[in-house]
Amino acid sequence: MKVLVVDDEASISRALKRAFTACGHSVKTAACGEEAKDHLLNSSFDLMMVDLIMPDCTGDQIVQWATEQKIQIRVAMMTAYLDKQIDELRHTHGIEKVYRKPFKDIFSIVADLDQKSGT
Amino acid sequence: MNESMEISFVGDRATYESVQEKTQSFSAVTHYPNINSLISNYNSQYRVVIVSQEKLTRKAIRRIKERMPNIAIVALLNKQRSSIPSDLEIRPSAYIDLNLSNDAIQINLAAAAKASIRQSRLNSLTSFLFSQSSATCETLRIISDATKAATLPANFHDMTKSLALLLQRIGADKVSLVFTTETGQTMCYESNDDSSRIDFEISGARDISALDKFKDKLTLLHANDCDSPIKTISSTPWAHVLVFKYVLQSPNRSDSQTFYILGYRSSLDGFTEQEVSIAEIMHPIFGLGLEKVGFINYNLTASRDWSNTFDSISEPISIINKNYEIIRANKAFARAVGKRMLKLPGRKCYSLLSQRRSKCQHCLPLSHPGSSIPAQVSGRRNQKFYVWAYPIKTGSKDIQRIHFYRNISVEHQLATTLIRSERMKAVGDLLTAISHEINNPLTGILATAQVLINEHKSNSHSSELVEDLSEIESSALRSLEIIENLLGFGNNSDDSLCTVSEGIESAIKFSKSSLRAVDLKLRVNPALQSVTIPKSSFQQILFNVITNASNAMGEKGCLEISAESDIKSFEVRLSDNGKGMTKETLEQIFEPFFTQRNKGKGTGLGMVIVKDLVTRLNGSIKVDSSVGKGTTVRLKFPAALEMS
Repeated sequence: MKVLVVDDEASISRALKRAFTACGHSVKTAACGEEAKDHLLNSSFDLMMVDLIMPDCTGDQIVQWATEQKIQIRVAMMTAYLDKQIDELRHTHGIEKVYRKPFKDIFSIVADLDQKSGT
Repeated sequence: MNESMEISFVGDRATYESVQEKTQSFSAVTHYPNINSLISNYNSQYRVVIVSQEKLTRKAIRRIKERMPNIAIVALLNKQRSSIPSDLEIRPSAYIDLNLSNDAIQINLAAAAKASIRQSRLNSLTSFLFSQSSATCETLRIISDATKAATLPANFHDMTKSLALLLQRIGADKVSLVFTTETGQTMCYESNDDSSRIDFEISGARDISALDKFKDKLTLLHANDCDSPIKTISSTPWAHVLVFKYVLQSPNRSDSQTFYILGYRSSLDGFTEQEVSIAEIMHPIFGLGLEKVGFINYNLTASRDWSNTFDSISEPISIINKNYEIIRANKAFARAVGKRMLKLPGRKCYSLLSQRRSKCQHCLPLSHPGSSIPAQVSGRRNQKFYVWAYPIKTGSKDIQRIHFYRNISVEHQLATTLIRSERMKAVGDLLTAISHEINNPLTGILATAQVLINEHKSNSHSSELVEDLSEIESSALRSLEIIENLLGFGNNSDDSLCTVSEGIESAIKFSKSSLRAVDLKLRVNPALQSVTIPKSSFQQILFNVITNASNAMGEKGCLEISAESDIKSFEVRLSDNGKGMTKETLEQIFEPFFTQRNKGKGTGLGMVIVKDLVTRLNGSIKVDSSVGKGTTVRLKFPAALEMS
């Protein structure tokens, strides 16, 4: 599975990259919306794991942009924000999963997404 | 003493009722339409005092003699203008001499005492007689019968005491004294108009020690100094005049029999409750005719009606003078300031109500014509009052003002609670913002630790590293939990259940470092092993309370944790023997950022979080504390817990 991790918090991107890699996936990271868009235009990914709030844009803006660009990709959103927002995001078109930060167990997330790709 | 004494009035009902209506004090006089009905209703257990409107014929007297052996007195009313027939052969156990004439009624008090007529009965009898005597009758003469009674009347002392009290209370401004010796000489003294002094003499009295303490107010004069006439006692329409007359008797001097008539004018605003009660005791010796007795009663009634009215109002009301001294106040006021009614007059309103030394900050100036907007003042025990001030239009230049108070403590409390909950909300918002900021780096720490553990867990050489990493992971997880609680995420479904016993044990484990030197006593009702509660919330609550307890105890102390349950609820009680808290501190413990610990050590949020979590668990928290003894926290939860 080819994964794009988008988060402005470097430690998170790095940890996610290592976790996905450890599970046999290939990972690219982006620290902001623009970088993510570059990656999406230049390569193809199975999954994008994107933070909701970033300095230059929000995760759902990237999702919307990708939809407009007709880029086919599964999306998992991460957020440190409130339950209410998480519920809203879960019902947003194009978003498959929403994870609340901090993750209690990063590997269970990886496994969760991996399983989804199998089905 | 024979208590079974009846005063019987024999005569027409109309007279009885009209008199009863006017004097309102006749409960002790029984009415009989005629002598026959008196005789036929006579119960031999009673001794009777007969007051008869009807002429007592010889036949009637014979019948009384036959049928009523227990007769104390027979009194005849002035219509008959005659005394008891001299050949009346009734032998009462004691006679009370009752002489009625146009200008005097004489009662032998000593004999009355001997005949064991209780004072209330004597009062009734006397007032009845007054009412029946002619309107010109101004004086009551109470004669002590020196030959028959060796001592003063039993009730003399009481009356003297009442008199002294009355003098003090009323601040009598006019006193008349009449002295009559046994030989019939009458002397009189009338005080001057200087109301600051009351001058009179009580001669030959050995039982007037009660007056001693009023010496500074009473200057003793010699009877011989008095020579003005008695007539002036008073006819001023609005003056309240009380006239007392006593006979005193000295055991040593046979000529010391003396009448006293004391008349006072009270202030114009009527009698106080206490004066009324004294006046009622003294009623029979008001030296006034029916008209005036009635008049006084009328005023007493009116005054009582008004005082009842004001006392029935549940809001405090007071009248103050220009010095903010209370002239009068109602019962609610007395309650509000926690003083007895009699202690109020003369005290400053602000000192009573607010314990201030100067007038309340927001009180209207005395010259203010009154306002519909109340001022707010503080009372004792954090009570708050609105006060409306209305000037009294007396026409005189003495400024008086009515203060009408309304206790707004409850409203004030609600407003304070509202402010507090808004402050709580602000704190909550702040915590949310901070928590989110921390969440991102925390995610990095936790996730990286997990990645590293995953990398090294299969490598047997790195087992120590994995342990270290696991330590980082668990600390990060605990931070996460704390933040979740701070964020109010206690309602998330992840909060798994644990039993109360488990919860307490794990909370103690968490607090181990702070409880190191503490003697811990744990007592959990075994029934609680089957009662469950959301784990992390419960742990957090206990952890915070235990932390506070250990801070209060310092190096060493004793912490008792007990848990009891009944069908509907269970209670966890944590008692420490630490330094405790003052009442003021106790009131603030649920205030955000209130801390007793040194700056930088306590967050001032522990108990705020506890309260919040307890509320979420539909529980309640109660904290009792006393300085130097310790603090007890009681946490009560419903047995079937549901997260709200």
